[in-house]
Amino acid sequence: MTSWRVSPDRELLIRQWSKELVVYDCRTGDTHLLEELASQVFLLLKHQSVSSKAVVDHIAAHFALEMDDDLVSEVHAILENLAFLSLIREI
Amino acid sequence: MPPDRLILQALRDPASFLSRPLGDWDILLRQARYFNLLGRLASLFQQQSLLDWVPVQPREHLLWDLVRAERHALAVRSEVDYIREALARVGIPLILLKGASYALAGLPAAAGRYFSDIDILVPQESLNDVEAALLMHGWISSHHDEYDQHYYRTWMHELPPMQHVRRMTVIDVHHAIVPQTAPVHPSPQKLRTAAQALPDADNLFVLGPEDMVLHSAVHLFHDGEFDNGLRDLVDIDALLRHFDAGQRFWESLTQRAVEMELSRPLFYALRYSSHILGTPVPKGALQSLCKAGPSGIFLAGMDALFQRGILGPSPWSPERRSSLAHFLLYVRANALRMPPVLLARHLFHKAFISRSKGNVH
Amino acid sequence: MLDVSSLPSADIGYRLKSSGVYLRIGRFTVHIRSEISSLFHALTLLYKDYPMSFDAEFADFHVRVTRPLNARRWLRAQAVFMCDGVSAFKPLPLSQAYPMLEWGLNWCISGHAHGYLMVHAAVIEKDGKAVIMPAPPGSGKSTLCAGLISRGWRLLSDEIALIRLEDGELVPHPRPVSLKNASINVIRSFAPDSVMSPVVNDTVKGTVCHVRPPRDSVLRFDETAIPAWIVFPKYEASSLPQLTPVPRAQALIRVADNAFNYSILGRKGFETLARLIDRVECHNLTYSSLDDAVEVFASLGSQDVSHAA
Repeated sequence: MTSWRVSPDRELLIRQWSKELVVYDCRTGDTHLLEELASQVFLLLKHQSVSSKAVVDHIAAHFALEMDDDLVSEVHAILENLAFLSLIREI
Repeated sequence: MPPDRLILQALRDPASFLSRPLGDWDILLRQARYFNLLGRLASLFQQQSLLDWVPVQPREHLLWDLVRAERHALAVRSEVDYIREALARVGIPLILLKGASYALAGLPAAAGRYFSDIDILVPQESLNDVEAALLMHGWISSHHDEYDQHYYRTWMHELPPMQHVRRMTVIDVHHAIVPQTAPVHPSPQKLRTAAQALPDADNLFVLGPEDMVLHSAVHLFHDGEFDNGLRDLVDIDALLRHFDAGQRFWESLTQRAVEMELSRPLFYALRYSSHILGTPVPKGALQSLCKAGPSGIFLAGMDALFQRGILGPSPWSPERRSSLAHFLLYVRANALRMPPVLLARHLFHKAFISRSKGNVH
Repeated sequence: MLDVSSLPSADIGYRLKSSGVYLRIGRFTVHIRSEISSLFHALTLLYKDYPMSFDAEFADFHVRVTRPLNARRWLRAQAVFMCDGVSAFKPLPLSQAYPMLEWGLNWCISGHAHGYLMVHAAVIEKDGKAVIMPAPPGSGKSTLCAGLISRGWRLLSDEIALIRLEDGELVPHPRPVSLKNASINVIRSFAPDSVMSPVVNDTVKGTVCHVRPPRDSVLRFDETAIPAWIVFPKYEASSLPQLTPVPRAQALIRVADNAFNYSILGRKGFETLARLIDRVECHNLTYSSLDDAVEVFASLGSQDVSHAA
C-alpha cells in the first residue's frame, strides 16, 4: 500500500485563502494553485505519511462525501498529480 | 579616463569607481550591458560589500541585475538536474563545461555570468547514446540540414545544439574542447581523467582547475577574432584568482598546457589577463610560456590586435566616438541578444488541480 | 528640470535630433533621440507636463527611434527602436515611430526594473486607494482606464503596474494611454477634452493613438499609492455592469499570469504578490458602457461588496 507525504526536502511557500492553497516551489520556481480537495490532501500530507486508503477516508469524512469509486479515483488522480509536480512523494 | 576604459577600471578595482561622477556610472552601466558583464559587475560590488556606496541611480540597476543573476543561477541548477536525469542510464560520468560548471562548482567566476546553453563533455564513443537519451527526454536537434549535421559532428567537436521542446533550453554536447580542424589536439581522455566530482551531487563532474583555465583560454582567441573577448578574459581572470594558491598551481598550469598542446592559448590568456585586468600572474609563469608565444613585431602585432579586439569597436571606442552624445548606430551581432535567462521569460508553471474538472491542467 | 511646455519647441526639436533630451517619466529618466518629426510632435503634445532637460548626468535608459541605415531607407520609409544600441524590434513603417517609442519604453522598463513586481495592468487611484486592473490585450483595460481618468481618477499607469518589493506600494508610472480601433471614438465622445496624438493606422495592433494623461497625474509622479482593489475588467457588449468577487488564490494566479517579471523575481515575486493579495479585494467586472463602469468604480469604496475571502 502506497504512502504519501509532502516532500520534506523541498522548500515550499504556502498561502491559504479560504479553502484554496497556493504553493510556491522555491527550487523550480513553479507556482501551483490547489483547489479545495487537492488542498485538503496536501495539508493532510504536510507533516506525516499517510496511506492512499487513509487519504481517501479522510477526504470522505472531511467533506462528508459518499465513499464510492468516483471518489477513490478522484483522490488517486490528485495524488498522482501532486506527485507529478514533485509536491508529494511516495514513501 | 577615456570612456572605453571605464569598464576595465570598474572590473579591476570596483572600489575605486565609487568616487567617479554620475556620468561615468551612466556609461559604465551601458558598457557593462553591451559586453554582457553587468551581472558580473553587480556581483563584484556585492561581494566586496560596496553596493551601499554606489550612487543610488546606478545602484538600482545593479540591484535589478542581481535579481536576474539569482534567477539564472537557479535555472542552471534546475536544468542540470534535468540533464542528469535524462542521461542517468547512459552510464557515463556527466562532465560539465564552462558556465554550468562554474555555477555548479560554486566558483566566483559564476557570479552574474549569463549564458544560454549548457555545455557537457562526453566520450566520443558515447555520442550516439547521449543523443538518443536526450531525444527521448524531449530535446530536439536544432540543425536539421544534413550538411550542418555533418559539419558539427565531423569538424566541430560536438553534436549540433539540441533544444528542449518544452523548456526551450539548449544543450551542447562536446567530445573534445577544440575543433577537430584545429592544429592542436588536447586529449579528451586526459581531460576526463582529471575531471573532479562535485560534492553533494551524484555523478556530476567538472574539469580540473588547470583544464578549466585552459578551456577558457582556448576560446579567447578563435579564428582570428576576439569575439566575446572581454567576457572570456573576465572568466580567465576570475578562475586564475580563485585557483591561485601559490607557486604549485602556476607550475601545474603551465605544465598541463604543454601536455595538452595549449601553451600558446595560455600564453595569451595570462598575458592579456594580467595586462588588462591586473590578474596577479607570477613573472615566472609568463616567462616559462614566452617561447610558446610570438615575439618581436609579431607579438606587438598580436598585442595591438587584442587591445583593439577586446573592447571594440564599441560605441565608446576612440575611432568611433566623436562625442558620447553622438554615438553611431552600431549594432554588434553578439551584443544583440540580451543575455537570455535560461528559462523563457514567462515560464511560470501553474497547475490547477480541480475536483470538478477531474484532471490537471 | 523644467517641464516640456516651458521649453522652446524649436530647442526641443533640435536637441531631439542631436544630443537628445532627458525626460523624467515617473521614477525613470529616459534619454531620447530621434530625428523623426512625427515623434517630435507627439512627444511635445503628450508629454507637455513632464519634466525635461537637455543635459543630465544619468539616464536609466538611452533610447533612439531612427531610420535604419539600410536599403529599405529609400524604398519604404521605416523606423527602428533601439535601447543602448541594441535593436529589439523589427523595423516598422515610419508612421509608427511614436507608438514604437511607447512600446519600446514598455519593453525597456519591463525587461529591467526588477526592483518591482511588474504587472501588465492599469493602475488608477482616488482618495488614497488604488485599483489595479490586470488584463490581457483586448480586454478593454486601456479604454476603461482612459475613461476613468477623465472622471477624476489619478493615473498611476496604463500598461505597467510597478509594485515596490520592499513595501508593496504602487509606484506611479504615468504615461500616455494607448487606445485602439473603436476605443478611439469611444473616448472621443466620452471625454471630448482629451488630447490625443494623431491616429496611426495599420499597426500590428490595428489603428492606434495615445491620450495625454491629466496634468495632475503627471505632477504627482512621486506619490505612491496603497493598493486596495484588483479588478479584472472584461468588456462584453450589451451587458449590465457586474462586479463579482474572485477567490484570492485564483486572483493570485491570474495576476502572476499577467506579470512581466514574476518568474524572474522568484520567491520574492511570490511573497510580494501574496502580500498584495492579502491586502486587496479582488473582483471580475463585466461592463458594456463606460458610464456604467465609472459608476461601479465610484461605488467601490462605499459598496458593501461581499467578498469570498
